[in-house]
Amino acid sequence: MNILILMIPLALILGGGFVAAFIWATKKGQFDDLDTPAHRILHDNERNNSR
Amino acid sequence: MEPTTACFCQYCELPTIDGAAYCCAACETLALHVRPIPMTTAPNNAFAYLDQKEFTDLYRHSALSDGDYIIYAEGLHCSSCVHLLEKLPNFYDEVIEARVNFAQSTVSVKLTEKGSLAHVAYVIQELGYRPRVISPQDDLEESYKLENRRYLIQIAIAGFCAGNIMLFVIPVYAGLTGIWEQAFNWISFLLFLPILFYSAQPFYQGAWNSLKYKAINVDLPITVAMLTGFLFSTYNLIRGNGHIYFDSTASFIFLILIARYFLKRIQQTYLAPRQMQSLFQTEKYQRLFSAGITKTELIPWSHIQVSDRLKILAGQNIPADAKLLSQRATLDLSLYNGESLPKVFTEGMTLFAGSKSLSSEIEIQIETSFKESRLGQILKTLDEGARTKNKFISLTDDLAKKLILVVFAIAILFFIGYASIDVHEAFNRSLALIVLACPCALAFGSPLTFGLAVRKAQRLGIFIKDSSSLEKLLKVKNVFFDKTGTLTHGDLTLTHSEPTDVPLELQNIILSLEAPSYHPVAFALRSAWTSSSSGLNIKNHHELLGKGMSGTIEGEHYELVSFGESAHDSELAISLVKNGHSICRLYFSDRLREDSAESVQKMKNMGLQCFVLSGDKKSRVFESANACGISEQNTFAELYPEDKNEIVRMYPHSCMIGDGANDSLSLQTADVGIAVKGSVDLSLQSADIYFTRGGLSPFFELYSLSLQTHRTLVRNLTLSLAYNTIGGGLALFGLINPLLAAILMPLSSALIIVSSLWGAR
Repeated sequence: MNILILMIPLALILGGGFVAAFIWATKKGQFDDLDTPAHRILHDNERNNSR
Repeated sequence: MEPTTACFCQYCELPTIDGAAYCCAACETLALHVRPIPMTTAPNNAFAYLDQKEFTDLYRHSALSDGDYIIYAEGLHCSSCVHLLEKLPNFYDEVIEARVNFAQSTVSVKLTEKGSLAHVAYVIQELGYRPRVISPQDDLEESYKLENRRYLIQIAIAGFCAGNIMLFVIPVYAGLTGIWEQAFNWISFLLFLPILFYSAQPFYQGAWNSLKYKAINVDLPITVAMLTGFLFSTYNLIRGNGHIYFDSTASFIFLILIARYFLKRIQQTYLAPRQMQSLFQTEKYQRLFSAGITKTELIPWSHIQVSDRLKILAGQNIPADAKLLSQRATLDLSLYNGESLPKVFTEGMTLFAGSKSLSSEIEIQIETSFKESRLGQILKTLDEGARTKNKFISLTDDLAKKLILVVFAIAILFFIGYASIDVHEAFNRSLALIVLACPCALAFGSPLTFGLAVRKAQRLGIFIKDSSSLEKLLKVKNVFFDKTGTLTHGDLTLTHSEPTDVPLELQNIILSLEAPSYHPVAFALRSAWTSSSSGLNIKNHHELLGKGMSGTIEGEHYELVSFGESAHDSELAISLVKNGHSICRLYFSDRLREDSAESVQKMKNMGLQCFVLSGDKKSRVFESANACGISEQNTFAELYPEDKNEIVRMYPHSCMIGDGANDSLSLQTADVGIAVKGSVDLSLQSADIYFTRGGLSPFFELYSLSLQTHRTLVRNLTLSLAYNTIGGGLALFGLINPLLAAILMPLSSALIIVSSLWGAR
């Protein structure tokens, strides 16, 4: 059972990392607009036109 | 059957209308040409004024937001539109980045230092959209943004903690004992702290408000149950034996947060810019420098000051109460006071803010600031009214109130009764009762049901700002209609003429004379005579201010003049005068909508009492009311906005349906305020519900949706009460343990979700 002393903090840190990533993404505005990206993805960017 | 060929857009493959090659201008442009659009200056670029400092200051957004400017692009509707508008940098070098928000139909644009907003607007117009720059205070999305993000983070943290608590509690349920059981329970305790101090904040806020305003809402029992659950579990944890409920408590907080966020996001679409028909905010006005000099400058609405002289173009709204300097002017008062026929004003008369000019060009002098104008006063009352709107107790809150009283009463009685047998057990069981009787299924089912209903309504073209209107609507007994624009179309239609059939050449002459006019008569004629042309060559073509049009065609002098309101008074009549002789007369009136009479009849059959409240002239109002079958004692005419408000206030359980600025007060006062299609922003903001489809028929869809929602709600409440009774009963008999609670909780939630989804199918 002693392995738990290592595993539990590790599991929590891992989970906490995901929460931190989610918070970061939220603050960056990832979840502000959930409709547009679905449309944006449909078109390829033609490279020859880029500035 | 004819085979359907070439009916799909060659670019995005959406179906096209009439077999066109592309579905919209965006696709065509994308497929054919993407290249920089050359700079254009003043006379050719209608947006040149946007580069003036007054306007850039007004429209520039703070550094925090996504772009420098947010532009609403009317016409944005498909993925190609998104694609095209995000390619703005390809059309204009100074654009650093353009991001589209599809739901809002807006583009946020980042510009370089020397970038020109005017050119951006011009490019967007060239690409086939109607741009409108949105100022920061009108950007509702922005104001929700931070709140939404905060809520999302609260949910994430609650989810993380609740999920982990459940993982750590499984071994305990499975029979873990000793030091590890203690350790796992302490970890659960630690994981509960972020929920307690951060994620549950909205509940504390709600509970605090409910105590402050002495109106018990569902947040109070949730807070009580959560705090009881936490303290009780912590107490047992320290003592080292007894029940621990961290897992159930954490997961219900998480579920309720999610359901509320869902409802919130759906309701936020109520005031997207696409629905706003702004009265002033986006308008620009031409200010004359000084008398005699014809030079003008463009200024934003907010910069207008008392004693400014303005030049008002056809179709513009009068920005504040002002004196007419031109000889005559025709004004459309329908949004200001509900009068359906245009009115002629003469020099020196006062024009009221909110009325629309129909004459091609008039000069006015501002007499009061907007705040002191009649409309501004109404707005002020509106702001004050927002705070005092009478409280409505929803079914959920009502039940929550009864539940909390009953549960506490039982808990206390039980404790007193059982204490003589076993004090400790009595304490344990009554606290377990409070935790288990938490109306969490109730608190979670209601927002979910409403969210689904509001979303369903949106698909039907009905936007609901406040979901409680769905409940209020079922209590409505009195329905008040505005006349102009609600029962009627709100614009003129050609009703009859003398001679009955106007010959084609006369139609052409009349249409050509009216070609440059913004007068409702001109619009009515254009839609009535679609087959005739307006391309005749007219010499000496000009507008007779406030009277009509005149011009010379092939040597003959024509005048198209109104001869005042005709004998009926509810009609507007104009006559075509050829060389001084009247040769043709046309009569116009504001016709009833096709479905008005039928809708009113249906509402009467439902047992609703119908009223008409109008600012229009008596004869016209009574005629319309009569045609709809509304009795004379229920018809009120020539009302000021305040009068309308007073009448609505006198009747309880009222529903007001209207569109104009003059309806805004009564829309707010009514239990349910409904704004119909074509409403101005003022009335939209004070209404609870907005019909994006014309006519009154959406009312019935809304009503059946309300009924459906109510049924679902009642079913959910019954289910959750059954759960509470079972849980509470088990707790009292000492049969409950945390494991049973952990099983019952998700079971009841799943049942509620299924019931809500089933109800909204």
